[in-house]
Amino acid sequence: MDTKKLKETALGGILNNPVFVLVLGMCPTIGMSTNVTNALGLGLATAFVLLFSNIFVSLLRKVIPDKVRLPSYIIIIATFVTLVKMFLEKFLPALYASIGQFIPLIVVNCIILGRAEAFAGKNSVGYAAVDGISMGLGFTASLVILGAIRMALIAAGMSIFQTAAGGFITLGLLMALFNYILNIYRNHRKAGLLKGGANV
Amino acid sequence: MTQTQTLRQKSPRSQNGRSGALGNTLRCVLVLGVIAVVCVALLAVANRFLKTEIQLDKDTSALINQIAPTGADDNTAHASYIKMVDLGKGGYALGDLDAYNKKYGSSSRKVRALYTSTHKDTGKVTLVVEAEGKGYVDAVVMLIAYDQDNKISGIVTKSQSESFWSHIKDVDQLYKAFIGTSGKIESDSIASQTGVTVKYTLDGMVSAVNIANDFVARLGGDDQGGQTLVAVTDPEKLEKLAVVSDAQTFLFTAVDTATVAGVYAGNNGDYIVEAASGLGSHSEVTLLVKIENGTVVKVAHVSDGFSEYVQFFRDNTELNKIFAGKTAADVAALDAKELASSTGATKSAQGVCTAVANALAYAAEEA
Amino acid sequence: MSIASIITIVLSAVLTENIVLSKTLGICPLLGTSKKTDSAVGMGLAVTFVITVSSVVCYGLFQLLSLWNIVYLQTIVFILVIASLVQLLDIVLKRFSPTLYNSLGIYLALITTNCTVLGTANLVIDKGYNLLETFVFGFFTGIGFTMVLILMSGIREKLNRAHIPAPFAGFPIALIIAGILAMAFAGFSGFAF
Repeated sequence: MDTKKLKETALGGILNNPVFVLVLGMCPTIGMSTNVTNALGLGLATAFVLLFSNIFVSLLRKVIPDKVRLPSYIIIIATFVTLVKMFLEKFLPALYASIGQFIPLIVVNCIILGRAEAFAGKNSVGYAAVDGISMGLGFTASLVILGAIRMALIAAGMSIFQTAAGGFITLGLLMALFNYILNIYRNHRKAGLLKGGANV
Repeated sequence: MTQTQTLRQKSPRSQNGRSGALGNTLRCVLVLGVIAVVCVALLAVANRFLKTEIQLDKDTSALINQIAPTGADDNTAHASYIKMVDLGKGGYALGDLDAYNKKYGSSSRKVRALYTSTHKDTGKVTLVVEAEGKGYVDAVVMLIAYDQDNKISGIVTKSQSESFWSHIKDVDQLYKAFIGTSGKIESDSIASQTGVTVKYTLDGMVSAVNIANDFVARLGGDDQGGQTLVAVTDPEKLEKLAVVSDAQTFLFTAVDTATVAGVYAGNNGDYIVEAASGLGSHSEVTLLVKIENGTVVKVAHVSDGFSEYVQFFRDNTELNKIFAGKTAADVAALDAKELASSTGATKSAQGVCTAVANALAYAAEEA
Repeated sequence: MSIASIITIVLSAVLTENIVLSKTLGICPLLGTSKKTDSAVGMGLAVTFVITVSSVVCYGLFQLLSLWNIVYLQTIVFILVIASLVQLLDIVLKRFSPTLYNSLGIYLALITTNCTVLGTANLVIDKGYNLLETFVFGFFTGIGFTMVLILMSGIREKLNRAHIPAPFAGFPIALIIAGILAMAFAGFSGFAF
């Protein structure tokens, strides 16, 4: 395997963070980030589906004709989503009671179909699996961060953060902060590069 | 040579044009079909192993302990006194919850589970039904406890996600309105009694209660000609029934005659009549008589008005020595005086014989 | 089926339980297609159509699934219904109404992965609606979605002329506007902050 590509793929979850950079999968991000448990639960469920759909899409990429690509991907994804749903319902009923509504919607989470289409359908199994894990964990991490912040704010007595409105605003502010830091980072790098150029 | 060359050049092209497109479509359909079949098969297998059944968790136990007290603390109650009932085992007339819900439930109401709560001291068993009804937002899940007459003795909400739940000012008062009721309840009457205004939420609760009431009434038997069968849960009666029958569970049918109080059906097919002598005061005796083909199989003593000294007729072994294997004619031929000779209790002997005769007569009439 | 319960369904679908602002579904298209009012209307109408038809079809199929005891196939069947419906709509519009196709066409492809559609199909089943209620709920959920999209696009068109701090430009400010709208909508269900 090409180590550079592998490293790039593995870091995809941070550099191409599905929530903060690609702005995908907003609905569960806002809906299910009222506390860390829900965020972690839904994040990991999504990561699981992402990993396995990536693996199977990649394995079958030479078998599936281009024309029926999307329906095939959808069936594969829906199967894993249903498996996750059955598993949670059976073994974690309390968690299922609070996030169950969003589990079937993992099927239409743009991250999963997006990764199948953009990455797994074009790369070999190893890369696809690494991409699945990286993106899945990146998504989970964003959800947990958001969940932790909202939980702290709710605990501080601001019940608005329990509602959809609070979710929108927290995510908006966090994204602005992310942009701000990214801008500073970019400016610094630009300045640094210019200096370096002058020295040479 | 030139001919074959042209043929060779031509044929692949024309094949590509027609059967190539057909082949492609076929391949698409085939691949999609195979993926779909494999996925569905995978899910079917997973469903078999991961099928969710409602389980008795600690929170549910704690709620059941409130409405059908076991006398123990919640943890002990959960561990030993509250059990979930598997309808398939235990001789209930309804063998399967899914089948019941398919027949009598709907998408807006269904029975989810049946529990028993046993009191730690008295051993009294209370049936608790978990049922859900559609509220405004989602299902309202209720736990409902029943007394021996299938009347509601306790009720509590297990889960709900209603937006206007807080508009029910006094939920305990609402629960009280259900206590002691049975059969079909109208939500309007509950609303007017309690002044609760959240219509859809109340409708959800009432649908849950109604289906639970219906379910409990059918636990003993479906469409029993207007008679209600109930599972026997009274430990004292179960102990007596165990004397005459090996069955694990019994269903009781109330019978309205002067001498016969009821009939018990054991889950192994046993037929037991509870009959009294109907002779009054010192000759009054009630017995459980297991009958097969018009013949007494076993007898157990239930209660009597005898004075202290006739222990003889309270001894089940002695009673069985007298009556086992006897038909109605045999019993009629028994000389009560002869029976009484060892004890001198003529009236008591008379009472016991009459009770058995009454049981046999009822069985003959019913057959 | 009383008029009162129909009205309740309509009001909850459009206002109190708005699919976007209260149930937080369909946020990707909200952020993606609310920059201009024209595209907001186009997307809204296309989604309304697909939601209405798919929730009715899914309702019917669910009755079959539960009859055959294969409810676990719900997700797979529903998403296939939605995907084929979108595809069908694409073909039909292209063939019979090129003008409408040109105005809706680009949004059609996005609808399959719009979670409002699958979300509504699932909600209808969870709520145990009958056929008529399903139709009404589906249609007005779409209307509620369209309304929010139009509201957002109106505000964002104005914002184009405003000076927004660089880190807030684009998605962050759109999310905050959505948050403020959600607060206003929470008022419909009597939520006091």
